[in-house]
Amino acid sequence: MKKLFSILKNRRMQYILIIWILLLKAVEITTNLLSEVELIRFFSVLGFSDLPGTSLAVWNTLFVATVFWLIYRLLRDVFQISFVPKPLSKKEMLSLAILLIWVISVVASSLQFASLVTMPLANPELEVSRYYAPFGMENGDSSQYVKLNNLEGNNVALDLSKSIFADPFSVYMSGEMSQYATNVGTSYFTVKNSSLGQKMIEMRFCGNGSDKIGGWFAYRVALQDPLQINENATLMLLLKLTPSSDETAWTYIKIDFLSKEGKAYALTWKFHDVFMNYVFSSHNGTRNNYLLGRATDWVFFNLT
Amino acid sequence: MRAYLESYKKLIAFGLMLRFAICFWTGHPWDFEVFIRVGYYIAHGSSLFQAANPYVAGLGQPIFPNMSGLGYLPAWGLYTAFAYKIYQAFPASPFIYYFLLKLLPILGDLALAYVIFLLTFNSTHDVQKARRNSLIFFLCPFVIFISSVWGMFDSISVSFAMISILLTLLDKPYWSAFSLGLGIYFKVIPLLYLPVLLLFINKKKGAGETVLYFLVSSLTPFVFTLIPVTFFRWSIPEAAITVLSQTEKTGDLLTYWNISVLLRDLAPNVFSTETLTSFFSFPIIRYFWMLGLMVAYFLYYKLQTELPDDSTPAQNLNLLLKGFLFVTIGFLLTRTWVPEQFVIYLLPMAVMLTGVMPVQKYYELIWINALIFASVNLFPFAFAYLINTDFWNMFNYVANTQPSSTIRYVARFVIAVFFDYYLLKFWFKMVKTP
Repeated sequence: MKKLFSILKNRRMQYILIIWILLLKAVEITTNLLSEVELIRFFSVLGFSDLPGTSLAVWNTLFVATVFWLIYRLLRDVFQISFVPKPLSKKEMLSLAILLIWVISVVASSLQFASLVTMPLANPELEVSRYYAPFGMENGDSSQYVKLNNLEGNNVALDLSKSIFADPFSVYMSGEMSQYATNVGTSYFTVKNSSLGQKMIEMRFCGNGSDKIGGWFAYRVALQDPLQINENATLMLLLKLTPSSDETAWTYIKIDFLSKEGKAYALTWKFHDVFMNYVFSSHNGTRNNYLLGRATDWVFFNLT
Repeated sequence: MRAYLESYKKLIAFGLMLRFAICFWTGHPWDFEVFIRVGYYIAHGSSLFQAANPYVAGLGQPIFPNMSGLGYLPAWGLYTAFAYKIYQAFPASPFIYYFLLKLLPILGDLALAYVIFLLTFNSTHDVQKARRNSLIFFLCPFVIFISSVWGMFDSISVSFAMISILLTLLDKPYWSAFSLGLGIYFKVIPLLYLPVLLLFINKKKGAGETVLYFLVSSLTPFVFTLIPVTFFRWSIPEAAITVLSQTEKTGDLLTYWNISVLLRDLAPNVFSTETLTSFFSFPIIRYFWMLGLMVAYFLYYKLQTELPDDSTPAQNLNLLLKGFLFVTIGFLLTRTWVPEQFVIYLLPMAVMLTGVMPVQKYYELIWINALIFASVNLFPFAFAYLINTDFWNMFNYVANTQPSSTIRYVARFVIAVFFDYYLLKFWFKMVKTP
């Protein structure tokens, strides 16, 4: 322990640590930027966008502390300015501690207030999912929409321009789309009847590549009008997920609710390839997140 | 001398024969099975990076109905397809295919033994020392185990990295860069050695040559990846994502971080999977290895500043070996997920230093620990799964049944701690010995 402390006191070692933290921040910023670029958005797996809120707060605090540390070191080593604090009396120490606690509570309250006033109101639309763009697929006309004619009741429009179909679909404005997917592990949408006789959309992703198609694909399902939900409503998620080759795939389903009083709630299910199984609640319990991993053995926990 | 040469050749031949004798009926139940299937699917026109590889009747074993693809750049995948094509021409027995899959890693061992010989001889002009180092490495049970039993091909990657040292010392920097690039093309790990070689080239040749070295070494794997990807119309993002697949791993295998698995086994409610996942995805834990590498590069740079301008080949070699070892040990000590085969990146450099500084004991303890760990992590009989799936089933039962599962996790942790302790000892020995 003594040896470790002496290593940390070493000026060069401190610079190495500072550069390391700054590099990690650079990784975070770069991966965030790269995630916006179509061809290389998979680089986002190197970033920290999936960190839980608490971890993210700790990480950002650590980064800010490192910046202050760097400023301190530069002041001492480059500008030869050193601070030698005079010894404090017990009374002064107590005052300083109270001042520190006050500053921290003011900052925390300000942050909470800022997040409350800037928080967008819940969108009443049922946003079902968002995916990454596919690998190895020819992107068609992005304005091409597919209407599921045999889904009656709800006006559902699917942007399937980047998807592959196992079964021929009636494609709105462009006729039939022929099958060109594989038999195993292919990516497609199809309409099937559930065991209860309901029509459901079955979605798969990650082609097995035997036809040079593999990886993820993108689609969006949006309802034209909000669904009216009462307290007894049952929501069913009918998903069929196939894991990716490298355990980096993920997707999420987010449902926003708007109460009659205008209060917004959100439920998010995030599915990962790697094993995980936990829930967390944020924003005073109005946002509940279920993080689940692996295509099998999912277990739901109740949020209390 | 002639008699010694004869026995040297005999010992090399013995090492080869031993490898050939055990290679065609053994393999790692996951890794080798993936290679078997990937070779089949690529040979039949699939993408190298396809998501799922279902069992192929008549090849390997169906213990895993569906397996993931490769996490490497295309070199190894292309070789597996090549091996399958040869087997297809002479389909007498699938064991021929398994033999061909193991052949290249075995040749990698042989190439490494030869490069160790050349490097030692060039710096010492002592043929006996060169043969000694070469034989110590080639007959090392751990090296034999990784290539001919496990079926892992890291020896090829290390061979190219070591050839890059040899070519640098022979004043052929561009060929050295090309060789390092080929090493990266097989496995990305040699990329970690690039800064060491760049610093060395910069000192000896100047900035211009350093930039060229960087370009050749980084463009080689890039271009060689682009060629098959374009020719076979594989997706570039797919090829690139395989490189990234190794970045997010929870603590496991040959590292003290495997305590997480033990803790989860002992107290699953406290150390739940989600808690551990959160912990290991935290930036400074996930990228702890980056700090290890930075310290290694810094130490190397400090050593290099002490190198005289008219340094001898022996001094140059020792400096580069130390640099490579700093990087490898720094990486192994800080990465949260260390598969056993990574030890192969350590042994060739370490064996050459045994003649220069008193590290022979640590060299031996390191590979012995790694071999024991590999045997505890996956019991040796499980590597015979190609003969009978019950070998795997037996292991699977014992490894997942109390109390043997907990005993196994404890043993894994203890061995890994000893392994890391010896790595640290080796590291400090290098720092202290001029």
